[in-house]
Amino acid sequence: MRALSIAATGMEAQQLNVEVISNNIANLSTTGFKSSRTEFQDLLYQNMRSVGSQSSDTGTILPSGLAVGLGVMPAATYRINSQGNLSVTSNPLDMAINGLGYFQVQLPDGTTAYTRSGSLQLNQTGQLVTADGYQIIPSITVPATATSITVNASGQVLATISGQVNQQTLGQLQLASFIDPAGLDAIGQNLLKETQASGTPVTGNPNTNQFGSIVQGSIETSNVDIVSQITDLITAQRAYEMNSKVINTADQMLSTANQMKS
Amino acid sequence: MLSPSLVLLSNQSALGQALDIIANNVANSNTGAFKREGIEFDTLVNQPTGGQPINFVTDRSTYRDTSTGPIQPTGNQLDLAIEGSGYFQVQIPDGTTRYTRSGSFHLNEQGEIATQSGQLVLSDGGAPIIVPDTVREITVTGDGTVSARVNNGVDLAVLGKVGIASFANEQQMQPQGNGLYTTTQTPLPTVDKAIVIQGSLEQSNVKPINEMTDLIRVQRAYEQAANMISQENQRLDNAITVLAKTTAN
Repeated sequence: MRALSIAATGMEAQQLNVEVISNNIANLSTTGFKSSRTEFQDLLYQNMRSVGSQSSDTGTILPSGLAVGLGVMPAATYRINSQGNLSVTSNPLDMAINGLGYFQVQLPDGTTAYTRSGSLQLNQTGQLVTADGYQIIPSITVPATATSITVNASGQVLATISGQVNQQTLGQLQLASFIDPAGLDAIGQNLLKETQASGTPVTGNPNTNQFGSIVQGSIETSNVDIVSQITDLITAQRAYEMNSKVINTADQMLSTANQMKS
Repeated sequence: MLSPSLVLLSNQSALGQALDIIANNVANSNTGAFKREGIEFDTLVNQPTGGQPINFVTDRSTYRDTSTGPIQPTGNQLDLAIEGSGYFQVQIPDGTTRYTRSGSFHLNEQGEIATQSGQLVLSDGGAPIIVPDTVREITVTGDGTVSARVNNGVDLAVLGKVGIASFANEQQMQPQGNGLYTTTQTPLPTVDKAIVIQGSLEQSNVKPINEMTDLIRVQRAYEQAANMISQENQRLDNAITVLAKTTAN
């Protein structure tokens, strides 16, 4: 009886679904977090009578066959890259990207990671860093004499230096974009890494070409839609229950077969 | 003389097959664009020489319920659903074409529209649709035309048209797993009933209530058959005992 193993694939798939949903809900208030969705695909089909095969010498063919599918498998966890809401914090170093693009982050091992989480800070030498202390690329240093920092929509970082009339340009923020952002590899800490699937990064200034603009004093909240997550959770739970019901029934049928008097 | 038991056995083995079909439907109740399957039983007539014809049960065929599943909005610009009949055409690595209704697409590293498993989605001309990397926003209209905003969102450029194929006989299409179908039929020249909906996905058309009631029906029928086999066995037992006594006397 294949029903036992078919229903088991269904239970496993729904378990993964619940795990993905719970991670989305857990990251409801994570800055720049993008929710994921589990995609399922049907498994192979076992053909007992192939549709379209010849059913007689005169060339008549079977209008329908006998094929049993062998269950379900998770195909992908797909990251939904829709824009999260912007939440105003009034902190001058909080920067949200309104539109496409990622900030580039220099990891301690020298490689580059990408993030949408723009709650930036200054380190001991005045450089712009992430909450984990990783440098933003291109590096921008704010002098200790700066009294206020302004970042415009195009990513220019300007500072008012005490004793100077004109604002001084400190640098230009750059964003990176990917042809398939869903193909980026999430490594935790709100960071993503380039993979073969994502394609190579294209960098450019904010508010040009495909790149979004920088909104200073705001952060991008997660794009998790809590209502749809809860309804997905209910669907997943019920689907899990139904699969266990199938296992139960298959078990009872086997037990019926076992108890037949000989 | 054993034929009642054998008829019931044929019934039980067909019911076992029916259970497998239901299990597959339930397992795929959350699989995008999955089509539920049903099983058809048939009689297999055996006419012994000089005897009455005996009707055995056989599981003749499976059929697919090709009705459109519920269409759920996702807001993802490359999630496409087909309202009505028709299939997206995708190219598998050996270069041949397969058909699918599961439209959860993305761009691959070359900017081509592809399925979750990386198969290329073909345009109506049979070529992949390429999206340049400077594109912010992709729009897909009801007839499948893919256009993108370029030049900082001023102009709308047409990139291609997602090919939709429909077929005379959908039951003839063989499922291959991964949501893909294959067929020997050539697509119909015109598709007039299909509308592409952007930002939505077609869900599985499995109705949980139906599957659960079918499950109960199959289980009870199986039990009934088992019961009757037991009774038939008892009847034979009785007959042997009684007949043995008669000859002994």
